[in-house]
Amino acid sequence: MRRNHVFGLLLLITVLIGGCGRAGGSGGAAEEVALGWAAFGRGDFSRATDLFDGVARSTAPGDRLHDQAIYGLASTWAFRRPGENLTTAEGLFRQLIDTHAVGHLDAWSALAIARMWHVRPVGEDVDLGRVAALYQAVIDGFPGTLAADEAFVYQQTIVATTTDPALAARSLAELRAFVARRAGSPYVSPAYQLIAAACHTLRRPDEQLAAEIKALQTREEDAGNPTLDRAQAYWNIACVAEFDAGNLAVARQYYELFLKQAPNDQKAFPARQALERLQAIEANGAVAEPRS
Amino acid sequence: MTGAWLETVRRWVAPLAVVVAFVWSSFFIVTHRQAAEPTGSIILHIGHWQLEAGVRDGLNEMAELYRQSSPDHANIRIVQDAIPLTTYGQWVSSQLIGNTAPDIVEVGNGLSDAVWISYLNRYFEPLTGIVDQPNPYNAGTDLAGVPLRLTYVDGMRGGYVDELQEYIRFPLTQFTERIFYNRDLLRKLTGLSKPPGEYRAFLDCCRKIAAQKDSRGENFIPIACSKYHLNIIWTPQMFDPLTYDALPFTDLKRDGVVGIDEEFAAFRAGWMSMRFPAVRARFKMLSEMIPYFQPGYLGLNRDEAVFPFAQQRAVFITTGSWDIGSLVDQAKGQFDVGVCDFPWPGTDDPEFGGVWHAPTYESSTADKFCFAVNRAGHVSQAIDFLLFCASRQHNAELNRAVQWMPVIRGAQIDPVMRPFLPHLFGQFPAFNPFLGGDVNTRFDQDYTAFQAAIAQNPQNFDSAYSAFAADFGRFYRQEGYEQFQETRRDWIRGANTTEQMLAGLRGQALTDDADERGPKWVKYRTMAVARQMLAELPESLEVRLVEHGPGPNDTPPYRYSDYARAHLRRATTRP
Repeated sequence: MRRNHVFGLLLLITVLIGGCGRAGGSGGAAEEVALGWAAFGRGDFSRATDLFDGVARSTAPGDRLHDQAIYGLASTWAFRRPGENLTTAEGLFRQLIDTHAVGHLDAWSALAIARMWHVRPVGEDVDLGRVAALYQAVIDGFPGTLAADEAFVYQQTIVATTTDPALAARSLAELRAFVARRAGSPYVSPAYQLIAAACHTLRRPDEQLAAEIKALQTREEDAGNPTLDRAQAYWNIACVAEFDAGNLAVARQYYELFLKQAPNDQKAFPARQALERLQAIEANGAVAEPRS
Repeated sequence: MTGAWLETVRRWVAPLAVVVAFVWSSFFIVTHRQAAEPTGSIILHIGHWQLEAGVRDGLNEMAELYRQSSPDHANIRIVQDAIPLTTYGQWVSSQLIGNTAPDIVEVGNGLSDAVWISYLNRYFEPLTGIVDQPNPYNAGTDLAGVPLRLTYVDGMRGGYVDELQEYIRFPLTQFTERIFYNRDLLRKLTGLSKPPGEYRAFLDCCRKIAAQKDSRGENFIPIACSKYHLNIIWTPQMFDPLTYDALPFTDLKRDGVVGIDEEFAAFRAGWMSMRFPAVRARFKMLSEMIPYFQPGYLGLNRDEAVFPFAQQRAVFITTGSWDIGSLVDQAKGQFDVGVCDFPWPGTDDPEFGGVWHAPTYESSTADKFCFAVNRAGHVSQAIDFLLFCASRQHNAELNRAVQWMPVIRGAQIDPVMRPFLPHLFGQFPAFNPFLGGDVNTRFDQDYTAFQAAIAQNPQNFDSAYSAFAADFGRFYRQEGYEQFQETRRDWIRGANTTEQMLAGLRGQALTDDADERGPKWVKYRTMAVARQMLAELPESLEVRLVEHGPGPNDTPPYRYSDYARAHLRRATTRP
């Protein structure tokens, strides 16, 4: 009887130890990195940490998968709630920068640091001066990369909310230089939108309208996302044309484009009203303001 | 000997009874399951909360048609788990966590949006990979080569979950609201075979109904109503759209939707107030309808309003197309139920002609009776069955069986459902003072007091509204500031959540797409631009308007700037 008890206990211990295997996928390191990002996306930061850490330990520095795991681990430390650790996160990102990680991971790590300090939870102040400098570090450290382009656009958004004409004018010059220098970048479109915002502050509505149109023309499209169709952009341009710039022809063109793109949209009725309004303006010069 | 035998029986009868019961129940379960689930069959479980009349029968009909549609489906049986809505959230949570959830789960109700999104992310199969493929069950029709998402009336927008960047739901129907009426009672009390479509004539009809008494000496009730019916149906359908003319002053983001933050900023900027004619009109129309609502409606719940209609003491009641089967069933054998649209004022109406321009806009978004596929279940069979239900022919059949509206282009709609077809062109609300917290509480209090004052004296609108507008308007402008700050904090929380989502997309792109122009990078960038990069711009305008009022460069969103006015005049000046 006693021997049976001992045997049963040993069996139980064996089962328990056998169940405590390494929490990983059945595939290789690449699959575990992918699983790590899937866990990150679910907000399962503990699992994400385990997976990324496992790959980082099992691969050599300089290995592409090692760098990706470090990047994932850094991102997890930056975003896990509770338990975020920005110092650890920044340390890991800087490791990738210092070792010139492959696949532009160094550049994206520099951007991740800037974003980490720019987007803070409620109750935490944002040091915009420091953030602007962090973006500049990406721009200076990784010129010509898409990470640097994104950093530039985010840096300019800090200014875009201002009503200070001097700041708006300086930003406008930098943005125009950017769109000329980086004409092929997918970040040209948001840069043009910031140009439009600056022109609005500087009371240059014709240039504002031109920038809005360029923003649409250079916009990157994701056909798989139904929320990103062009209808809202058409509506916005039509409104800028009519109410800010007084440009009848462009206003009509874009209201009509909007109706063609989104005939069942909620704004179809006001779009029709707008076309009738423009027609009345053309016919008898009467500019009808909405009643207040 | 006999005593020993009895003693033995006494000792073993209880354990023996347990063993016999166990053996019998095991036998019963096995044989019953074998009958219900023959060997080799696949059982698909569908979980939903739709206990309305006809839904379970409709799904059973689809299940049978599906089995008959192909020899490959002969071994597929579909079992419904119909759960009351009141417990659906707890049920689906425990099922998902316990890994016992059905293969197909109705999603969208019973839990908060945030919880559903986390469940969809963790437990359900994304459909993005199949929405650009044709639905095989549309073969032989003009939808044969059309991608699945484009076969939907709304491009399958209702199946897309923004936060996950994935198509993850199969919507199978859409709902709208209308007025239901007792045809027999209407004819008896007014001589009319159908209700008037014009607003003043409708009020006259209600007046005539209210003036007559039933066999117990009680006045007939023109409109069965409760707080639910008022707030959920009458107000969005008839009263709120009258505020449309406020749009030029409140739609600060120029996207056609007036958010609570925009409304408050417009008030603080002095561009909007409770005295605005279109806002006043919204409350005026309510005051004209109140005398015809069921007495004490503010204190009644939804079911309490149905009683007088079912008891043939009320002529009209509002509800949605989801209820038509149940209402018709309740009335069967007693009275005939009709459906009509909401009555609209004419453009020459002395009170509302200036603010009513078109019927109420109703979205064509197909986002009801939505099902997601459990990743841990029979995924391919579940998707195939839902594709079957989402084909033109079978979506029409399903909705005809349930008496709902199909969502596939060209699907035949049951003639009974034609009055429910959405108005895809019309005016919409542009007044949204529900800033949250104390503001909503105060609105509810003041609004209730206003309605009570009108119910006591319907001729009293001017003084009742003046008091309401002054009291609430003052509270809103002053005390709403703290609640506005909370909306800003909510915006920051949202920005943090978006940043986390973007970090995940960026990480996946870095892992999967060596080419920074590849599809995962495009997904990341387009989301970053649309949701985060420029999001601060409209927010900063609102903060400025609230803190400092409009600056020299700030005009209401749809008013001409000085430059635009001058430019327009120059362009139209005859030489």
